[in-house]
Amino acid sequence: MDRQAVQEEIIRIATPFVKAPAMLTSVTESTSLIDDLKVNSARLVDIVLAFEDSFDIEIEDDEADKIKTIGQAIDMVLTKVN
Amino acid sequence: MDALPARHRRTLETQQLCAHSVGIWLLWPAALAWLKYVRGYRIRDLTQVRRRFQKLLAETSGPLLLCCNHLTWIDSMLVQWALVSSATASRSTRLFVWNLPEKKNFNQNVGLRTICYLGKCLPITRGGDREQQRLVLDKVRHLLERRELVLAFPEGGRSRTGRFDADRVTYGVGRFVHDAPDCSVLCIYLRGDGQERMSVLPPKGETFSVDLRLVQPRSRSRGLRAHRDIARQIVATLSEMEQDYFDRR
Repeated sequence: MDRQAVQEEIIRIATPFVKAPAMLTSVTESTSLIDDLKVNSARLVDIVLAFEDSFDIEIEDDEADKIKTIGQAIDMVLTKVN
Repeated sequence: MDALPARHRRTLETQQLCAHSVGIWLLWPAALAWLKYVRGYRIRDLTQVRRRFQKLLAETSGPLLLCCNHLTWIDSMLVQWALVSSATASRSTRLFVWNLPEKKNFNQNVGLRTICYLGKCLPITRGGDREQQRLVLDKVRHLLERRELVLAFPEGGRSRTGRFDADRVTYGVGRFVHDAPDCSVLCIYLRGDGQERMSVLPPKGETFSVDLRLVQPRSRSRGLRAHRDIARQIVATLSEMEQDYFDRR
């Protein structure tokens, strides 16, 4: 799975939880899920669990705590998938 | 194994000592007098609520987390008042419960910080730095393991809708329960007769209803999924209690 495809899937998963949808048009790997996309920290857990289902991976609590940006989410998924 | 570093354990022990020697004897009676005589608040069927609390407390042997809906800044004080008398709290200091207030609300000046400290508060920045949040979570786990009572507001802040807001519920409460084996949850539904939406203080002369329900939420999942399962069971209980409240009204 390539980086671009993972990013697109991550954005698709995160979209229902994003409180600043206008930011979705300019998402980069440095975009912060909480600060830029205004995802509620509780909903970040829902997003991480959706990553697990979508990519068939398991993300530990400590690893989930490290996901702050789209780029970090992509790195996490790719590490697990590969 | 206790994940809380020794220096934080000592910090908690010092705060507990100060709260039990000063907070219970000076701060809490003054706060109660303010609630009763300055604000004119009253808790409906107070004696029955306290009896029920003692009965439910006797039914638990493991850790106990208190989870309450949240509409005003002083909900934790009202809960403390509803559950035990000042005399009972001074005899059994475990019943003077720990609280988790939003840091920015109680970090404005030295006076508020002192009250917070003596009132057994562990300020938390919601949605803030994850390391700081993790430290508070570790402190709560440490306290629960030692059978201390901790009051949390699953909504994370005061409800913006005036009703128990399940959409805002954080899964931190699920983590507390999951990480403390055999943990029970005492769900508390608190509402003033005239409280239609959130406020800083309830209106003067308000009368509050308090309902208590003991649950043992569990999950067969692990990690974050377990936290979410457990938090959802607590949410379901508090939502039912709210429905019961409005059905009775």
